[in-house]
Amino acid sequence: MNLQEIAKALRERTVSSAELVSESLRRIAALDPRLKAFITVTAELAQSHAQQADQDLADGKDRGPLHGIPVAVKDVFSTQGVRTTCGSKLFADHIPEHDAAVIERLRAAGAVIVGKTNMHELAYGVTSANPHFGTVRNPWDLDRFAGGSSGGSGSAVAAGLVPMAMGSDTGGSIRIPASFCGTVGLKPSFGRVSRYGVLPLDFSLDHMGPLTQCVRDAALTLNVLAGFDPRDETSSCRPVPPYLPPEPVAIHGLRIGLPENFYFERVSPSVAEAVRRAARLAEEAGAVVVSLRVPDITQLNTIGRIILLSEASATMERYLHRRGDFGPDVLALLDQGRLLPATDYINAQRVRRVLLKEFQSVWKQVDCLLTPTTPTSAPKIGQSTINLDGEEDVRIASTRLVRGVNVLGLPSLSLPCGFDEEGLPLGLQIIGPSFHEALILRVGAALEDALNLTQRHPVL
Amino acid sequence: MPRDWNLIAKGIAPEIPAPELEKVIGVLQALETQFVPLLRCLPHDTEPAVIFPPFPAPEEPV
Repeated sequence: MNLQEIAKALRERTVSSAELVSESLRRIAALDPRLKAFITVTAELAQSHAQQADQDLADGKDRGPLHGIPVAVKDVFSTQGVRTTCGSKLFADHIPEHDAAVIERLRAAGAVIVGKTNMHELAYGVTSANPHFGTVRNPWDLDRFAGGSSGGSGSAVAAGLVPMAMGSDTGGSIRIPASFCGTVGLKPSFGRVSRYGVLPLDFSLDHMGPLTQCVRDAALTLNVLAGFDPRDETSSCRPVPPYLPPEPVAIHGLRIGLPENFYFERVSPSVAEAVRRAARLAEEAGAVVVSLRVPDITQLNTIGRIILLSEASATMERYLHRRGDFGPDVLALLDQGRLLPATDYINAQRVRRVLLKEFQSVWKQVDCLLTPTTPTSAPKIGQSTINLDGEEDVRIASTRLVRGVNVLGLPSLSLPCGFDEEGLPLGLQIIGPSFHEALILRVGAALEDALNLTQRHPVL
Repeated sequence: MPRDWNLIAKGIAPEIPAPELEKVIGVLQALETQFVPLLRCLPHDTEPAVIFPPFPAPEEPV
């Protein structure tokens, strides 16, 4: 059941929050020893909150769209009294005194948090092969990566452990696991969702958003999360519109851009075909598909890497004397960032300004862009390179189509668009202008309806 | 002129073990090759986007 169906069932008293949470905890107990999607399960707390949610509904106190619904959050969000590790040995015993803003908003909307999901160490990588808390497994094939860094959230939603799990995205960390695990993943605009109470990886690239079973669930969740927060200096005070698309969803006349350059280069044929098929379905639904050239995404990726390396190393520098407490891949990235000169960081931010201006021209030609999310389906655990016209590091390949959007701060939605010959899910990405989440969610919902893939689930 | 990353590492992070440093330098050399050409056409008065206000959105599409 999706979030709206669960909410309806709760209000019709055909199911209780206590029953939903028990079922979620039962599935976690049964499946998580194999999936490694959770770092901490807060069973007792969740059961207590579920009982309260049932009592509240019985008393006529409806707290909102997530009232009584079990959800999970990536272990990067501070939770008062519940340890928050950020997937790192450094914070293995860290128990925050306050909730992150996202947690406050989820609780205010009635959500019942059942646990903290596993992730790539410090949210700094794409495999979620965590040396301290185990490698997150992909529910579609346990020998494959779930993606990252929000891999536990992707795995938990795909396996039906929870209907929604929160993630964070600095260079694709919501959309990559969404693509690999066959879920929806939404990275909102920079400033749309407060980052207060989240351990920063990169001050100017971090974004918070949900992973869900369907596009409408992502829309519903964004309405819970979005809004101004004075504790986050980058938080936007723009009004929050309704994100759930009006039914029936209409995309007639919308101009959907299909990039001629970059996005379909070095992409597996099954991914390219699945995205192009989605574009044809959009056309059948009345959208106008426009071929266009987009600004140089390779440049965006280059400066994105320099900014991330510099800002992440600045954040973590105080811990770098504890070299043995880091996994080797994260330590290598932190070492790279330490050696970059300040002039490179400043110049990368100057080029960023130029590219931000250049990208504005795209929105004069089209209303949104349709691209693949990842160039392939999920790689095998232990696989270090991907071969698409040459060997490419798994991390560089997996972030190639998503990282630039973080540099630009644009909203971006990943949703399943097909399966490859091995039965693994494939993802497409819809990118829109800043603060046009409602638009990309509308297009996403229309494509999801046309693709009709939401009833297909992994067998575990 | 390409940077001497070994010399930079010696000054900033001498504790990085040699085998790890070799890999780190390989990545930085490749990144330098991609990055330096971007600066050749950068207008002199371009300011950094460190303070990062999202650009105003265009009109809401139909």
